[in-house]
This record gives sequence, C-alpha cells and structure tokens, in this order.
Amino acid sequence: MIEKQIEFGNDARIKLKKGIDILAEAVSLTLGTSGKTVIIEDMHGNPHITKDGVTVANNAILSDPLENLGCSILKQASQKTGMEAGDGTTTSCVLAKSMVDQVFKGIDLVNNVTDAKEGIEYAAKKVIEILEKSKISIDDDKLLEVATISANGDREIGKMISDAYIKVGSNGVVTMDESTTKYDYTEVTKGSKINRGYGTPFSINNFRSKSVEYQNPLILISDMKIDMHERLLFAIEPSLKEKRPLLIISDLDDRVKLFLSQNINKKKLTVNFISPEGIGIKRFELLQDLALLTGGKVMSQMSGDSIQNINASYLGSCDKMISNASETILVFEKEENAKIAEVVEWITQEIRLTKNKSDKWHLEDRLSKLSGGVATIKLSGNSEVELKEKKDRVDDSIHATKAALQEGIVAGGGIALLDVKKKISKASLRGHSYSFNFGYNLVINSLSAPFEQIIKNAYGDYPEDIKSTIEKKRFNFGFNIRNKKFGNMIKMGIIDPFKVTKNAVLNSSSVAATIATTDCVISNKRKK
Amino acid sequence: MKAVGSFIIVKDNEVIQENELGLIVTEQADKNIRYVISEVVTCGADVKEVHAGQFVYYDKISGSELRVKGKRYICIRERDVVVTMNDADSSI
Repeated sequence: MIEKQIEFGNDARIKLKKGIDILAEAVSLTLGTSGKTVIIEDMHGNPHITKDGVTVANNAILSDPLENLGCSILKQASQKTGMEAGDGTTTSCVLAKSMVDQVFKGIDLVNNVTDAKEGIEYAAKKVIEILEKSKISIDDDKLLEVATISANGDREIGKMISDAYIKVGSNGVVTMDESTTKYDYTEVTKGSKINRGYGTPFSINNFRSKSVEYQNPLILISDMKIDMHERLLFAIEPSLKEKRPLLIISDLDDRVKLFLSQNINKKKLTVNFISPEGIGIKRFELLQDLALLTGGKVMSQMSGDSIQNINASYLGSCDKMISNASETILVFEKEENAKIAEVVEWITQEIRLTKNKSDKWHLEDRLSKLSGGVATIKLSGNSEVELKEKKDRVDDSIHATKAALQEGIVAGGGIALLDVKKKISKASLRGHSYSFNFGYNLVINSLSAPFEQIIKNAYGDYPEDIKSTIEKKRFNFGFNIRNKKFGNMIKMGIIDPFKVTKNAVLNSSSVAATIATTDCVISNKRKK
Repeated sequence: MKAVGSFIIVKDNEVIQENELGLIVTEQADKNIRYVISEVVTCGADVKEVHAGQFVYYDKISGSELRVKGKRYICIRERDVVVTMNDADSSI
C-alpha cells in the first residue's frame, strides 16, 4: 500500500495553484507570433527545441505531489483541447491560469461553490453562443492564413498545407513524412491508401525507390485466411494468361506466402500480397469499399464462398498500384461511379450523426479512402532537432487547418474572445446569487488573457496606448504584432479555427470549476 | 551399397514438382502433407514391390537418416511406402 498524504482547504488549493502557475507560465511563453522557444532536455540529455505548447506541457513533471497534481489537471485540460481541435493547448493554459487566479482572489467570499461552478459553466456556454455568431466559413485564401498562423507564422509551411488541402479536398487526407531530399515538398496522389506494405521484398520491381509498382493489376480481395495455395489458382490463372500482375489483399497462411514468394523469386509469378486493415466488421467494411472502388467482389466467409463457386469475376482492377514497406496506394483514373457517390453521401451523413469517437474516426477513414486523394507533406531539416521542431509545428497546422475547414474561423490573436467580452459585459445578469455571479464574472474577465499574453510576449508588458486603442474600437479590430499595425484581424489574415477557440474556453473553464469546488487533495507520499 | 532385409534407401533431395500452371510447389510450401516423393537408391532382399531407380511416395515421419561418404540418404521400410512410380513426372 502506498502511504497517502491528505491536505485540506486553502493549503491544498495553494499548492495546486502553484503547479498550475508553473506550467501555465512555461506554456504561455510560446503563445503568439513573438512567442519564445523552450528548450527541453530529453531522457538522454539531448536538447529538444520547441515553440509548441503541447510539447512543453507534456514534458512538465514536478517533484512536489500536490503541485504535480495541479500541473496535471491543467495538462489534461489543454491536451483535451489539442486532441479535439488539434491546436489551442496554449490558449487553454492561459485562459485556465487567468480563471484560476480569479478563483483564488474571491473564493473566500463565496458561500456556495456549487452555484459558482454553475456560473462558470453558464458563462462558458454563453461565450460560445456569442462566438458562434461571429464565425466565418472559409475559402481558399483564408485557408492559407489559418495554416500559416498555426504553423507559428511560417508562411512556406502554411502554403504547403493549404495547397495540399485544396488539392485533396476537405475529405482528403493530409499526412507528413520526412523528406528524402533537402527540400520540403508535397506529394499528391489521387486514389486510395492502405496502411500496409508489400508482403515480400521479392515483389520489388522498382529498385530505386524500393517499391512494387504495377500497371493495371488484377486485385483479389478476401476477408478470410487463405490456407491453401490451390484457393488462389482461380486468380493466378487469368493473371498468367493475360500477363497482368496480381495484387492479393487478404490474410494468408505462412505456407501460402512461401509458395507465392518462391514463385515470385523464380520469376514465374508477378504478385504482391498485403494483409487487410482493420478488424472485425470494420475490416469487412473497408474491404467492401475497396471492392466498390476496384469493381471486384469480396471473397467472404459470410457469403459462404469456397473454391467451387469463385471465378475470375471476383477480381477487380485499378490503374496503378504502388506499394512500399509501409503503405500501398491504389490509383484510379476512372470517372465517377454512381455507387461510390451513394456510399460517400451515406457516410457523410453518418459522420454528422454519430457521437462515438472511434466510429467517427472509422467513417472518416472510409470517406477519405473512397472520395479523396492523399497528400503527403515531405519535410526536410538540417538536423534531427530542427526536423522534430518542424514536424511538431506542421502536425499542429494540419490539425488546425482541418478544424477550420470543418467549423469555420474567428478572429485570431485572442481578439475573438476579447470581442465576446466587450459584447457580453453589456448584458447584465439579474436574479442570481452572489456565488453564481462570481463564477460567471471570472470567466468573462479572463477572456482578455490570451490577447494580453500575446502582447506581453512581444513587449514584456501591456502598453497603455495599445490597450486604449483596442478598447475603443469595434469588433474584429486588433493589433498585428509582426508589423505593429492596428486593423481588422480577419482582413490582416490573423485568424483562429472556431473549433480551437471553442474547445479552449470549454476545457479551461472546466479546470476553473474543478479548482473552485476542490476542498481536499489526497496524494501519494513521495519517498525521500 | 546394398540395403539389408526389408530396408529401402531413398535419396534425400527433394523432387521439384510443378502444378498445371507451371508453378513450383515444394514440400516447404505444403508442410501438412505427410507423404513425400523421392528416388529409390537400393532395396533389401525381402522387399517385394519396390525396385531401385523407381520413385516412391513414403511417410516422411517414419524415415531416419544416414550419411554415406558425406551424402545424406533416408532409410525407410516397405510398409512406409504408399505409391511407386517409374517416372517422377507420370501422374498417378
């Protein structure tokens, strides 16, 4: 049994706050265009340089158990924002810190913390309602701005990401990888990607890129484990007769693999085999989609297929197949298929309806395979450290761009929240208890924190002249730190995805509510 | 070399087989098949139906190995043999 340490009331909360403060301070340094970099020592003592809030947060572990708990609460909230929206971890931290500060200022005067918690939740809901009214759906130009801002202002990376999304469409997949040359570039393929590499290196026919490339192959799709090579003869026969290569997408027994490899090696066969993705019913659905794309049929246990009733009509085809050690891409150049359009329509609808996260992910995966292309951004770097930092940023940016495509954008640089504060404070709140109002007000007061932090990162403090100018003006009016000019944020191209801002407000207010209602902390005793 | 009594000595190297499409099928690719083919080198005096030079299908589990002048052979008995053929390519 681990010995526990129990602390109550203010003592506990003060320590929690200390942990929150430490993490928030480290993370908030990276906020904004003139955010600072943070150097992190990894477990081998190597430096890791980052401007990414998540990476900083992930690496913060404190030695005092209570402080570490506070730190973890904030970390989890900001990670949740990152997971749901792909960005906004730093904004969440800054908002949460500001809220927690205010909780500490006034918590002694509050007689009912549950009311205060309700106030916080009500305020968060209200903020999002107002935010929703000011959001704008985006076009191709704005996409570039979103990608740039979430790549921490790197215009070249922003351009690559927005180009990639324009090419593959909003249903497409954008991934990243290390470049083999010393330049960054984007690779776009129109087709479907399967995350499985070639089954045997004997199949390789392009030795320069170490990949298997077939033109117009026959494709066999099966969801059962093929345990005898005789079962494959129906597919091998037309492949040999028509002199076309064969792609087998199925689970194979080791002996069958051996049989194929042997004959491939002796140049008697041109076959590439890969195992299917997914498990259970999901695997079947993915294979069904593939069958739809290739125009073949799935050899399935469920339909009682055996060696007797299967013939060459089960085989599908595609225009080109490229398979390397980790993935296989099928390229289709045919025109639209009415059946595919129907399935795409159904999936799009289902994604909107489903609430289960893993189902949603699966459906999105299917959609991207059926309808979109695949763009891979290849990144280069002079050193491992530089490359890692770049990858962090590009990953952030890809997610943020996707979030923006899905739910639209709001003014960036903390201005959207500042605007909400201007709008909301005019509406007075009547008929609620003091505690409720305390919770409500602390959220509203914190909304200016991200903007102030960005200015602080640039100037070291919050200059009075900027403050007065910003406060006088109307909505979407803000300050561009790059060229030190005032103006309309959206016109200047400083924007944030709506989804990011929304999740940042929700998750940070939940931290504040947790801290406000906490009165006792039980932690594990540390061995000295 | 002459086998004694009911013993049969067969060669250890595998006879490569091809199916109707011209693809190679080896024992390795079909490990669950128990009877394998080999060429007979010599037979004992008590062996009636098998002759040297023939191809036989025998039970691979019951055979044991011997080495003569650095070459491996397999020693089986007549009861392990199920099929005899004069030519490896002839169909049964």
